[in-house]
Amino acid sequence: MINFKDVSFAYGNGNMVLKNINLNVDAGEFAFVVGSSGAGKSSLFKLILREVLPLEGSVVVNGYDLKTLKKREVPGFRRSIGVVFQDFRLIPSMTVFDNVAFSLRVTDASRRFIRNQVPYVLDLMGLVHKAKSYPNELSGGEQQRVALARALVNDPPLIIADEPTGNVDPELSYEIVELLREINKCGTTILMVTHEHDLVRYFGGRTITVENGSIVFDDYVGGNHESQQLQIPR
Amino acid sequence: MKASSFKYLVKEGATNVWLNRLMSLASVGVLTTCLLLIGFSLLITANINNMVDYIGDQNEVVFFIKDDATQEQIDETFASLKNDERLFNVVYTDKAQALEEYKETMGESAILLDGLEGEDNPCPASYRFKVADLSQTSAIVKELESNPIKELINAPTDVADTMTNIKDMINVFGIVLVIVLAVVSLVIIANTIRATVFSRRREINIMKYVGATNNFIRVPFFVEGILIGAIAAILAFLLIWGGYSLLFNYMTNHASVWLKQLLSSIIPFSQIAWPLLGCFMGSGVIVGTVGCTFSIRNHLKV
Repeated sequence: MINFKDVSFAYGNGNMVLKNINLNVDAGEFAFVVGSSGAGKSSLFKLILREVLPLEGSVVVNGYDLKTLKKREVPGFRRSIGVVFQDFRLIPSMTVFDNVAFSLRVTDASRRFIRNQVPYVLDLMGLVHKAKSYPNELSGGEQQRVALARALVNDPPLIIADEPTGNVDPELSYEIVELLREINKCGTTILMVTHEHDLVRYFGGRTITVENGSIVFDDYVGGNHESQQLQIPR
Repeated sequence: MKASSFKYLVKEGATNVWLNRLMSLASVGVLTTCLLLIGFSLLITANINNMVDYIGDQNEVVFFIKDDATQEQIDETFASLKNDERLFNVVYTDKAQALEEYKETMGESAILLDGLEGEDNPCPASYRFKVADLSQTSAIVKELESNPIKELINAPTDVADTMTNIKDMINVFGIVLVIVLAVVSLVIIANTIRATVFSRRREINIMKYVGATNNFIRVPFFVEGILIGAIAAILAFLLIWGGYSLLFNYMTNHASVWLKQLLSSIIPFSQIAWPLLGCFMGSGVIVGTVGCTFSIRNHLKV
């Protein structure tokens, strides 16, 4: 699903941000990418989205070799990924319905399909009653759920989430991860970038730690969540 | 792109004009002001040109014919003047007519001219005509100087040259003014549109992340550009119409007789309304769409 082979990346100033990254995430996996600020997590995220290209090595995502991908093929590639951002990135001038529907509209989906699919996904996120609201009328948690609905509505094989809990209340963070895990159970691969170690410790699972541009840890860790009843720390 | 998607994007563009009404208002305001300035400059230049032409038309050339010229010579020259495309209103006045006209100008003193009919008539026959292009007056007079039946040519060559100079000056001034205004307008409009697009760069960014093609993102902006351009064009047209009519009415009601005659040469608004609206619409829409397309380009590189 995601394959990084000997990937190095630097921005225009020449500073190496990622060095010799080898990473493989299989279909159906749920993986956390953790690391402190400036460790290279965001660059990893940008490489997966083909916002930037690697200096060396190859990046293959959803079967697309991003180094050889033509510019006109980028939109098609991005439609195969659901993206969730820390700052939600909802379009303020659109209602919740239209924000979610936008992902379908770019694929030329029929109006009938949009009319059926969007309420279905909003229902999954518990947001049907907010369909006509605008993003500024929603709480942080609700906005992030709209962003999740937008990522999910296309039924993409892969969802990547960049610090999706960064702008929501701590108790809602657990709810967001729980939602992502539920989506994962349906077969969608999830890669979640975070710096909240508490969350990782709580949920456990595959954890990839990035430090100074290198992967220093990539293994499964046991979470408290599996052994205990869901007790969200407050 | 499916027709339904295209319809959605056009609707989206139209909705965005209202949703971003503050920026839309700024763009419409700037574009209207620029079109107004350019429109008024063009109208003033065209009208001054027309007035200068009118004044120029009042000056006629008089070709006095020698008394010993034969009728055949007179007819031949008259025919050649009539056929000359550079001249218009060519009129021949024979000696008897000339005397009559002279008498009319003398009023009561015309009695002094009694008995001068026939062979004693001192008034020469003449041709009178006007030159279509005043700048050619000197050249035409020079050509006619060699005519064997010429006694004297009375031509307002100085006036013609002055008028031609004034016209040239007005034309150059008008063109320079319009170019300067157009450049200034383009800079202001480009900045306004850039600010509009910049304020929505996040929106464009999000669209790119969810897999929108560049055309999918461009169409609503394109529609916005067209709408803003069209609204500005109509506004500028209506304002010019109102302003021009008010000014015209004021001037005709408060002008002296001579000025009234001059004002008759002012181009009526009905004559220029459609071309002006066409120009405004064309430039408004082109500036709006080209401005949007160029401003959006940098934000599409995600």
